[in-house]
This record gives sequence, structure tokens and C-alpha cells, in this order.
Amino acid sequence: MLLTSDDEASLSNYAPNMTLILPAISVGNVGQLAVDLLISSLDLELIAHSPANKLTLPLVGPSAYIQPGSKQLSTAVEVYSNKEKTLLVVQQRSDFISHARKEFLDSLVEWIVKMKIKRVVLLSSAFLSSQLDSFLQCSEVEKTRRFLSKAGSAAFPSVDNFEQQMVSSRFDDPKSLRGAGISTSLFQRLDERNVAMLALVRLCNEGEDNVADAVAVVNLLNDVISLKPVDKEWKRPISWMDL
Amino acid sequence: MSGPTFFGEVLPLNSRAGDVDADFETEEPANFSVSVDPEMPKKLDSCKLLLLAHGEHACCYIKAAKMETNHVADIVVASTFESAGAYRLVIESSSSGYLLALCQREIPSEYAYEVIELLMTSFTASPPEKCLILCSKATVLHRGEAAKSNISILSSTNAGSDWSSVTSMPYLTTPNTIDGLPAAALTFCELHKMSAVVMTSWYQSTGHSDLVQAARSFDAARKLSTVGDYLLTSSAVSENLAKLHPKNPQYFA
Repeated sequence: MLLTSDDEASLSNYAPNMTLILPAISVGNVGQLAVDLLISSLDLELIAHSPANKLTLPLVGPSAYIQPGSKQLSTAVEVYSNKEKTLLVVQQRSDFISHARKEFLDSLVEWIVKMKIKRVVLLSSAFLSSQLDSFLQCSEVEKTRRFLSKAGSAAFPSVDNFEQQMVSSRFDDPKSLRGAGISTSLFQRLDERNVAMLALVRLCNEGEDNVADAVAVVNLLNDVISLKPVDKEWKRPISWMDL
Repeated sequence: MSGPTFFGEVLPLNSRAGDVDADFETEEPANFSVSVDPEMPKKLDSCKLLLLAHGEHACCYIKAAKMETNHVADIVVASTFESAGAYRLVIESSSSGYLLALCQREIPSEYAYEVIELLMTSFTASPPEKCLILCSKATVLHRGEAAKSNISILSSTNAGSDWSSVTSMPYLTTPNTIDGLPAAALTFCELHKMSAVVMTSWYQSTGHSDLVQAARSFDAARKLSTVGDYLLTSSAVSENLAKLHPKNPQYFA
């Protein structure tokens, strides 16, 4: 689903050791901004434009990460990897086709289970303004809520203060995560299938500095799975020139 | 609810990211259906060039520039609510192995990929050897540094040596993007390792778009590979543009 069968075959030996990182289309585009930082900073290479492109609103452009002169395309759903093939990072640039949302979720879950990916990280966000008062008053670090699936504790041993239940967006439920897109549905499905999953959900609002929210998320992720030296800055992609 | 209530209302929160509170558990029905009319059109044995003209500027140019073609079929995007009008992609072909698709009115983006899949598979026995997609955008929408030219191109990875002169044309710069039907076409070609180029004409947005001048910008396409073989000469194109739009005599030399 995320890859063609040929691309899957080339990764099948690596999958049991791979961490899959993907964004949720969520408030402030925080998950997508966070993935942009990862791809730009970690020297990841594009391995495929995903067949999942047909389930999203079409979008193409020049590469978001390579300097002018390159003829590499950006499409709505792309898959990147590092040279050692321990990381598989998905970037999604546009929203889902409304009548294909369930198909995307179903296909993604089945694909993750089929490939036997070692662990999944979802980068997401939710509306701060619809949270409980206790979250409105929390520290910057606590503004990124951490959710671990039942199978996730062993795969992410350094995560603390995590929650194990995600509540879908409902107006009447004070624990709901409004604005988090696919997050709750994906988390619940992978939890049921005993997949190790960590979801980082940044509480924020639209129109604020969502780049800072994205940096907070990747900093926390870096604390958990050591992607780069702590003192090395995250590299902003060239597509952010207007931000 | 009308009139002052003095009570707060619970309103949905909106996000520029999209529909961030969408339901992923329930299958939503499609509001439109996509079909070919007539259902089983005659297929070309092979297609050397598929030319997709998207929007009024590109369609205006192609109507003035094309050689003789025959209408094959329409791809129809019809609403499930009968009162709404249908969107049509008009398909024409020539005996020289050239397929033309004209989309005057923008098709809903959610159905763009489905339309392109039908376009690429329903009218030729094998996939087109090359695809050229023409579209236009207002210059006010150009992001980043100012557009250096009134046209820019974007190509698939396999476009390479198939298209002569493509490297001499201005490439679309980051962070500009293309969406809708042209994006769906280039994405399809990229996924299927086909050779494709999207040419965008940037027009001044003055309230009444300079239709003919923007259309004329597309004449640069004849420099791309053998595209010129399927078009009338530049002087004939100018003459036809004048006939199509007699209200703009000041744009004709």
C-alpha cells in the first residue's frame, strides 16, 4: 500500500528492524512539519512515490529538500529511508480524498502488519483550546502527549508519562483529541493488532508558531530514539522559505 | 439560529491542514461517478503523444493550434444529485497516433486521479509514449522568488532525453506546486515510469484574464520534442486565436 511490490521486496529483509515514522494530517500541520525536519536533517533518500497517492488530493512540485537544479519531484505521498534501512519515513502533503479515508486506514494497518515493521511512530497534533484546563496550564514538554500501545513499552523503553488510551474526537468528551486526524483510529487499530506504536500528539492552535511545535515534537522523538546528536540543529528544508 | 442569544455556541474548529476531525471508521459514499461516454470507445493501436489541456487558457490554445482530429468520447464526472451539472473531459484523436484531452472546467480534485486512470487506459491499446499537460495559473499565486518567465515546466523522472529543449525551459521553483487534474496526470506518469511534462502558463490577474496572451504562451510547447509535428504553424495559430477572440485585436501583431 505504501510501496509497490517491487519496493516492498527490496525492503523485506530490513523491515523487522525498521522504525516507520509518519505524520497525521492534523491541526497546524505539525506532524507534516516535523517529518519535513526529519527528512531534511537526517540525510534520508527518496525511495518511492507511494501508490497511496491515488487516495489523497493530487499535488506535485519540485523537490522540497534539494536545491534548485534538481529534477526530483515531490508528490502527495512519498517514502524516504536512511542508508542503513533502519528508518522508513513517510511524508504526506495533502489531505485524503473523503471517500477513500477508510480505505487508506484499512490498507495502512494491513500493510504495517504484513511487512512486520518493528515499531511505528506517529507525529500528530490536537487543538489545545479543546483540552482540559490541566493541559492548558502544563509545561512545554507536557504539551506533547505521549501514547504507547500495549506492545509499545518494550519497543520504546525510554518513554515516560505515557497514556495507553486514545479517545476519538467528540464534543462531549473532555479527554478527546480534536484535530488529530487519523491518530486515534490508527492507534486503536494497531494496538488491537499488537503493533508497537508511539504517538506523539502536540497540543497547539492554528495560527501560532507551528514550526516551534514541530521542533518540540522532533526534539522529544530524538530523546526517545536518538536520531541525531542533541547539539546538532534541525535543518529547515528549502520549501520553508516562505514560513 | 437567529437573533442575539448571549450564549456561547459550540462550533467546529477549522484547520488549514484539512478535515482534521474526519471520521476514518465509516466509509463515505462518493458524491460523483466517473465514466466514459460512450462506454467502449475505439482504441488507438499506439499513442505517440497524449496532450492534456486543462483550463480555459490551455483549451483556447489547443482549439486554435490543433490539426484535424476526431471526437472519440467524453470522460464524464457526474454528480449523484441529478440537479448538479456534469464535468466533461473531451477526448479526440488523430490518425497519426496523437490523443487530445480537453478539460475546460475544473474537475473536483477528489476525482482527478480516477479520471486520469481512465484517460490513460481507455483510449489506447498501450500507455501513451509521452504526455504533455498544459495548464495555467495567475502570477499572483507564484510563491517564492518572482517568476522569471511566463511559462515554467515540471517533468517526470523518466522525461529526460525524450524531450529536446526541456532543459532550456524554466523549471518550476520550490515551493510552488501544481494540484488538480494536471497534478494527478503527472503523479500517474511518475508512478508508472512514463515520460511526462507539465507546462504552466503564468498569466497576469487583472480582473479579466488576458486569455489570448496566456494562450499564446503555450506556443513554446512546440519546441518540446516532436510536439510541433501535431500543431499548426505559429502564424496559423495566431490567425485562429484572432478568429476565436475578435474582441482583443490589440494582442495581434
